[in-house]
Amino acid sequence: MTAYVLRRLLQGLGAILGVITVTFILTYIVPVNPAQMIAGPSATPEVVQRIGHQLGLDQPLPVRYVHYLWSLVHFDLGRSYAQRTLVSQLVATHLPVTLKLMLTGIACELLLGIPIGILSSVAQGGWWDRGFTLVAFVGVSTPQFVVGLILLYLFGYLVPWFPLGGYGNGSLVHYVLPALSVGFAGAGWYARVLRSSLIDVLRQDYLRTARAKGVRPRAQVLRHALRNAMLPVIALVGLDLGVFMGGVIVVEQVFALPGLGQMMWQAIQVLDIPVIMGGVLMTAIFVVLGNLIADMVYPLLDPRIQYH
Amino acid sequence: MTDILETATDGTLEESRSRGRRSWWQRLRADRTGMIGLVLVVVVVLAAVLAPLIAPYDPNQQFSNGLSEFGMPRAPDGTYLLGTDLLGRDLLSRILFGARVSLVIGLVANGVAVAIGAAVGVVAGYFRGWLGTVLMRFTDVMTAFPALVLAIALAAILRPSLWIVALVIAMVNWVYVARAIYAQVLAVREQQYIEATTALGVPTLGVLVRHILPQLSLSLLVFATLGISTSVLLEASLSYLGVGVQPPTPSWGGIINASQSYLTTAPWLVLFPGLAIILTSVGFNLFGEALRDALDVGGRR
Repeated sequence: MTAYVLRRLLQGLGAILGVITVTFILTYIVPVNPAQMIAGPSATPEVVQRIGHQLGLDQPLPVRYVHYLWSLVHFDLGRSYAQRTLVSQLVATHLPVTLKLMLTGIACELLLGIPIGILSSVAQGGWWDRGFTLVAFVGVSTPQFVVGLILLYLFGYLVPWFPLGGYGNGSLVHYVLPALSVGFAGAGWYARVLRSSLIDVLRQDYLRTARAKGVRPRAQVLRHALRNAMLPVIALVGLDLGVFMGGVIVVEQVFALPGLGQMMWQAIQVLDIPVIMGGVLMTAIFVVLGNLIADMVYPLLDPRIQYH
Repeated sequence: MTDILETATDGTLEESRSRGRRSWWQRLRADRTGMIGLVLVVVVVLAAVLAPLIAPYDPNQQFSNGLSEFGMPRAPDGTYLLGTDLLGRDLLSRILFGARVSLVIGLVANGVAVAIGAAVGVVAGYFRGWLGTVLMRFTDVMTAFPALVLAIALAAILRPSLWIVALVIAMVNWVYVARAIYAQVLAVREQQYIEATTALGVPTLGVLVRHILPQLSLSLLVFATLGISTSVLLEASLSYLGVGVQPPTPSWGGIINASQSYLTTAPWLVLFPGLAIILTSVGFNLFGEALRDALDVGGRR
């Protein structure tokens, strides 16, 4: 078990190194001269060259790569062209919002998806089941920003239960609609996965034993079957994090939440490369970490799994 | 001998015999939801192809009677069936022409993604060794990047145009194809007829193109259909964020982007393009899944 955890951690580290390398390559193949961007359009060539020298742009690529790694180890993501502040500071102010939206979104996926999955598996083939199938399918086919705008119209304007976007004092009420928007598709999808895995598990021998010894139906599902049936869902939550993260970034835009998505969006308007790449790097690292956590939770739920 | 036993016991023989009675085409025809998907796909394709003929107005023309006396967009009525946008342009015409953007990008982006993914998957799966390891590790690293985030960054930096957007979407979507094809090639290359062709001295390229690729054609067909939905959704999100196809070219995401601040006063400007996106995506998803079931090949979600 310890060996498994260590090996997974090492793999995660490798993945992060890969992500950093790809980001490095992307940063340096973009047709923008960072020195020119910092100096401004009217700067003389000498000034541009001096800034380029300060940034180490005249050094060979491998040296720059090592520099890049070295600064990342110190949480140095460079300096914003437009705002002259450190990218790491920008990230630090915007990250909590994105994290909160991520967690509340995943909570929505599970809090909606699990009960719906249980209901559909129990009422297999009925109208409930069919209705949920349809909703789940439409959910997977709908971009999160459209879900967000529809929710905003319905529950922010027609029935004004929630604020019409914005962050306010950052209280939870500002996260309800955004979290539902990012979680809607996942909830439908996980409900489908849980439904089919529950149907499989309920057919297994140990549940026949449970039935035979008179365990009540409710306990059969909730106490005995659910834990095993949840395994594929947990694995999928980890695997889907990349797609999910994309949704989070867009939905921040719909609701004007000041997270990483908005940081990147503002940076895009002025082609502020260090900030854009800082956002790309941070979200990718999050996906790797999320996968790692899912892999660590998995064995806790299923002690039968052998680790190699 | 053990091979034969294994084949016989895992039930594939029996299954394929019973399935063999009906052709995949018949199975596809019998799939009701799949046929609904096909109808949606046909409607969208027709809308895109026939847009210049069936659109009531020029999508980029600003009508003087297209705005109310307060300068607001007109709600759907007899003149403008789906209403007008902020600049007094006919929304129906813009949505019909927007179908062209969505479909062209969906088809091109996904075609390129399937081609890259297939090439990487086949090469990595067939040669394995260090080349395969490097290619698949690279694929793994690319899946860690949230597709949309990477696409936003790329599109923003490369200055979006129709083809750039399509290429960017292909750049982030090929990884899923590569993974699935890699796994399949690993299985296919162990089959005896591949061993036989190699023993007969067929050159490697010939083995790959003539003997391995045909085995994958059905999966690729399914990817080519299901992936369009993903590409259309990605394009819509990029255009919504303003890094997709640029105005005045009408795109569904772009229309929503431009009219978001009018959500409460002119909700149709968000609702109708949103519906267009959803119906297109549902159509390709339904049809793609039916195709996958009918052809009996695995694929992504």
